[in-house]
Amino acid sequence: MRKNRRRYLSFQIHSDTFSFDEKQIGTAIWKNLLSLYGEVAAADSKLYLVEYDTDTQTGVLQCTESSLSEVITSAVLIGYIGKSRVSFEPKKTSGTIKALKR
Amino acid sequence: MVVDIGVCSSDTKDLDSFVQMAQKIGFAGFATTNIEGAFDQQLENGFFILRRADVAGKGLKSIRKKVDDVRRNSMIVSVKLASIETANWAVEESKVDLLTLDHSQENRLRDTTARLAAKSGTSLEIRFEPLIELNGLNRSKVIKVYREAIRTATDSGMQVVLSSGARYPLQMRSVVSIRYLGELLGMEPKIAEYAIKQAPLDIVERNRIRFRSEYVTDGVEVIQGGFEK
Repeated sequence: MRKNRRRYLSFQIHSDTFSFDEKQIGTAIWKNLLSLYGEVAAADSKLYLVEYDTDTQTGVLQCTESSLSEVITSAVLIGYIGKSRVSFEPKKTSGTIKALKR
Repeated sequence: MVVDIGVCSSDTKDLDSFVQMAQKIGFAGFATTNIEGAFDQQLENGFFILRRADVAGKGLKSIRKKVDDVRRNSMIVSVKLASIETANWAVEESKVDLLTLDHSQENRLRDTTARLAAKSGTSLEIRFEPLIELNGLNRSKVIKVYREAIRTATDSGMQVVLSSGARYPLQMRSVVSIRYLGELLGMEPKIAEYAIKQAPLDIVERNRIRFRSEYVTDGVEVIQGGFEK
């Protein structure tokens, strides 16, 4: 069986407030993925928030290659985190974190 | 150059924040219903704001009158998808650029309407703002309506345009994001990209030519003025 490769996605959150932590971002994406594509797809995505900088509101997500499209779509559809309006912008995707930051 | 032709700012005071957000996510301009002054404005930094008019009414007669009234001072004219009679008239009318799908209405896009639109060059506008605002069952219903309409349009050769329908700046999304939303709605990646990048720009360019003083009708322009004898 072919190993399902990982993909990394760098992103930026646009919002009026700077009060989100990693957990809030991760939960918001996970919830939307679950709502949009279901429990199996959410589990198979192996979604993980690698890092998030609260100052620049940028971060890196990790997921499987096959679920990358679903993860991005779910993240893009996030309208709110808590009570704050947000806009998720995918920046770059890559197979390694090193290449992502190049 | 990418243009979002479906911004719905409720107040002219919000325009600055819309411009800021649009520039951050890589847009060169947008069209909105609420602007003062000229219908094609260019800011100092090159960003342009266009006026659009959303026409809706009870009957065909009132819609016709409204379209005639707004066409002269709007870069984009859109008619909401309503009854068959209105929709079929709108897609054949050269003054109308877009047929906008309203997810809250029960009217669906019919094959016949889509085929007429494919011939005349009127596009189907899909606004993704409800997808961001809603969730769960309500969002699922919107996705169903949108997917059906997009399939009908593409099967008949009708152009689809993806726009934000943003009422707040943070409802706007970047081109890459919208491409993924297009895929969610059943579009091929290339077609989705065309629906964001090229299709709106084509409408704007076509209308800019129409607004030139030399323009007479499609394919006919005044090249050199003559003298009356």
